Amino acid sequence: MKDQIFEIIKAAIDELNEELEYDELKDVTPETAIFGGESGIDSLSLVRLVVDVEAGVSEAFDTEVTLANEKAMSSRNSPYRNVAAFTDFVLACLKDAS
Amino acid sequence: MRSPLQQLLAFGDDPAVVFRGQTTSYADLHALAESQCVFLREQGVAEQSMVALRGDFSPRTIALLLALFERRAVVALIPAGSGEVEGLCERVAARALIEVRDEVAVCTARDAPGPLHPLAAGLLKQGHAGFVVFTSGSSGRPKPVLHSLERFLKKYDAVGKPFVTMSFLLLDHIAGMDTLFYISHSGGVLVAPDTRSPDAVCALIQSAKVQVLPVSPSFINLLWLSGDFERYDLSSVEIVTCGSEPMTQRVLDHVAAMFPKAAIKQKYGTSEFGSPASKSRGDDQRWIRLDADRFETKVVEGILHVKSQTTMLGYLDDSDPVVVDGWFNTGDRVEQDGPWLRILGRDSDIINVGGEKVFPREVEAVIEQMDQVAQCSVYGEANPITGNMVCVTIVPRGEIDLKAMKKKVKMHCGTQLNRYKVPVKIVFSKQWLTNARQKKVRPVGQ
Repeated sequence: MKDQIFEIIKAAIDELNEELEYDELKDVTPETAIFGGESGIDSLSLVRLVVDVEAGVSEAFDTEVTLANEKAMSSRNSPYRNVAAFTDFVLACLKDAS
Repeated sequence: MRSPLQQLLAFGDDPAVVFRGQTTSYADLHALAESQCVFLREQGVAEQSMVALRGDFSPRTIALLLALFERRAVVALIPAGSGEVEGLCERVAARALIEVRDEVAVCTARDAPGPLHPLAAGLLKQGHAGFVVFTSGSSGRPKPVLHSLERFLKKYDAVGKPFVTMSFLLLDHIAGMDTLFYISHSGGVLVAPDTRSPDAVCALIQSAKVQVLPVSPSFINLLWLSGDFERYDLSSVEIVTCGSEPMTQRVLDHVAAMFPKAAIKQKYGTSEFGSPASKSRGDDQRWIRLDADRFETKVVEGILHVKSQTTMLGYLDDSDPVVVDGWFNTGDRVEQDGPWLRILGRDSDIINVGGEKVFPREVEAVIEQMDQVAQCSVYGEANPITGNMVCVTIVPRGEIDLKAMKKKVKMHCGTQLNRYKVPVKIVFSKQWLTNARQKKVRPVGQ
């Protein structure tokens, strides 16, 4: 399941990067930084990525999840800091939803 | 009253602007503005004319703006991210367009501009300077808002103490103008960011020891999410001002955690009357009180009305008048508790994306240009990252590949709209989006 979520996130980042063309996002790994730091995407791209991953998750698992939620916004360690953290966060949200 | 250019002389060699690691003093900024007066003359930009200016905060842009005011121009402030510069110049009948990039100004004379709007013509004829900011209009066309400089500057007569302030809000927004004039009238330091990413902003706060940080609630959320605040010393910040979106408890909590020594000040303002000095209520900072000496307020059927000397002269188009007997209808729904107000947001279809207004009709018009689209309806949905996000429901024409279509819609919108207006969520429907009276149905997502 985790691998599948990683693939969904990777596909969403790849699609986003067709427009952004950031070198840092070319080869997506669990360590790839998403939001924060000197590189990384901006807020509008982050919203789009989150929505695209929600759609991917809904299609793959037939479950609706909200990935920009209070938990994500309040937690001291942002779930959007890198792909690994985001994958874990999606997994947790999916478990909560089912 | 001294002009904004003469005003600079009051602070001599004190630092005025920090930009790309360089500090420009008030005296140097004055000299630069004087040289820009010569530049304008050489470029054939007439005094007392309508001139469009496009650029972010920097010594050169500020100097040009002040030089234009000195030459009693009305300056139309073209939004930085706008792809429709020519259209906006046309709207205000600008005689010239000046663009500043990398501290180089390029002036282009505009041939055969149309006639000036009578309000602008009247102001220029009296020999008064002014400026125009563009605000999103319900028809989707930006509305040019005309301000008299003299009227607008009245509230800076008695400004408080000088601070080191970051000009986070853009120069082409009324709040950016507010930042500029507060600083230049109090002798403060304007710290101009090159980019506005959380990391860049934190680095600049640390290096320039910024005391006042005027931002939007969405930026506070982003700063928190980025985690960048933990890698820098932000202890110089004494005041965080937040405006352009309704304030939430979460934003207040984030500010308290990231800037433990700073006071938070909620700001409220519009392109039409600027942003009054305000006080936040001690027990609950979502409530504010506007400067009653300069801004009278009344609440009519839950909607805030404001009367002020700094209210615009009017829109430079045929928009419906929203000022009646001096009272400006803000369109913002508020709660009232004695003198305290709590801003709840717009009572309309407007989508507020990180403080930027999006009118559904503008986005719909662009999407409906596509052959594969039979009908569409644009609406906002709450999203904690940017407050709201733009969504669209599309009724496609015939059979289409939905995934490919989503991509096409985003690309098509991306070529014609500012990025924040491009829908992030696209859903498809086979049902027509009109009700029995043929009125478009907009899902209420907020």
